[in-house]
Amino acid sequence: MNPFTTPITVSHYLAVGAVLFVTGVVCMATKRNALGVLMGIELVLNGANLNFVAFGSKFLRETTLGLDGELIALFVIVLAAAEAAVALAIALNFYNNHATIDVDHADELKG
Amino acid sequence: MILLAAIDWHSVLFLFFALVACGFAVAVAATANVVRMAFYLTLSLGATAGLFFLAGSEFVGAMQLMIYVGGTLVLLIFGVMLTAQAKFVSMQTSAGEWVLGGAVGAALLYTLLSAALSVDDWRTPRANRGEVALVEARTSTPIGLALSGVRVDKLNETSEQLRKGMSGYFLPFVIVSMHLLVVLIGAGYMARTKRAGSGLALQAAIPAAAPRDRKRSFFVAVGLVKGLVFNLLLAAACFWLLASPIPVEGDGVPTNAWLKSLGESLAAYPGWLLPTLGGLFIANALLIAVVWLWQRWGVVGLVIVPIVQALVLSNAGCTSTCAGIFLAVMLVPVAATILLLLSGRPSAWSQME
Repeated sequence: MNPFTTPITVSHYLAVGAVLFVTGVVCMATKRNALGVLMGIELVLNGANLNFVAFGSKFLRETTLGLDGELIALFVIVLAAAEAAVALAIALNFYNNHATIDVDHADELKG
Repeated sequence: MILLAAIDWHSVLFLFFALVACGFAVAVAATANVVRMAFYLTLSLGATAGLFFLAGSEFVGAMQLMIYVGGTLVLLIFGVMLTAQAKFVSMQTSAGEWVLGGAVGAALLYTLLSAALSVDDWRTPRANRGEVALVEARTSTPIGLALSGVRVDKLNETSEQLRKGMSGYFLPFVIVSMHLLVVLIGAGYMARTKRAGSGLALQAAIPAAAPRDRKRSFFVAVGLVKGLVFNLLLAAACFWLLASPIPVEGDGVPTNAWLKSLGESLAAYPGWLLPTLGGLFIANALLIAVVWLWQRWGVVGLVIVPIVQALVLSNAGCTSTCAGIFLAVMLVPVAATILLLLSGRPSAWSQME
């Protein structure tokens, strides 16, 4: 099967979304820098967004989510922006108070 | 040689953007330098916007470029710059965490990919996709109207309940805008510097990292490598026997008496035995890798896995003597490994975390 001549399907998009999601999860799990963890979250949200758009696309399937897929993707983008702002504010606050950005040291609430 | 006319440029562009998006996403996870991570993330998200355009949702693609690449990432890069002290730019992750994260990631990737490829309807392309007019697929105006509560794309909605204005996105739109306002105020309030110079508690001692120059003796290294190789061989043997079972009757019965009896006894055991044993051997190999990377909990795992294997064997109908012999044979190398780790000065055991 030649990848240059076979048409694109929803599964192609889902596979790319899965790779983005998994790299985001691995990023969240392994980074010690709080900002690295944030970047992992962005990747995860993007992988999910890709799936929504693929299911809403008219070029890939006969029956689609229609506009709902794209609208949900838009809301996800907006909420991701809000989440990044708050998380960044928390990270900066943490950095100001503890002089480190290492999440391994953010254990003051630990019992 | 591909005929130029046969090339589906949609697929070619898709492959390009997909490779860029996935490749740089992997690079984000792989690099330890936070500045490079930010740059790779920019490229990955930009390529994802390209994928959105290819799927025909140009408005979402444009928003991805404007909000994500233009807004959120600039915010992240500012965060990187504000915290970019030399010791935080490049933070190494301990190797044991890489092993764990990689194992979780591989399992998750397998699950997601098998789900993505399992539905036939998702794997077949739209038959008349050439006839989907670009004009019909243009989405900016319907999205704008949907956000103000009118769904022009669902004018022939048959359900009375959905027609009563509930199919628009006006309320979520208002909620999101209020949410953004609150978040803006909250973030601005939280991020402001409270006391002048409070950021310069930076001289506070950072706990010392794990010692860099740990040494393992030659015998420990040889023992661990040998264990890794043997476990992988055993796992491979299990899966190979699973893939091509030894025939017990007919033409292919092996002449070798030992192979013949092995085939007969394997055929008598339930089908889940071989994959379980193989998986446990692979788990053992991973645990040896963990021990190699100075994580002490790997040793505990090395003791537990043979016990589990012996239990599996006895549950599968093996005689308890057979399972006991298996347990003893498996535990001898583990005991030898522990002895090796404890010997020497400084012992490998005392250097482990």
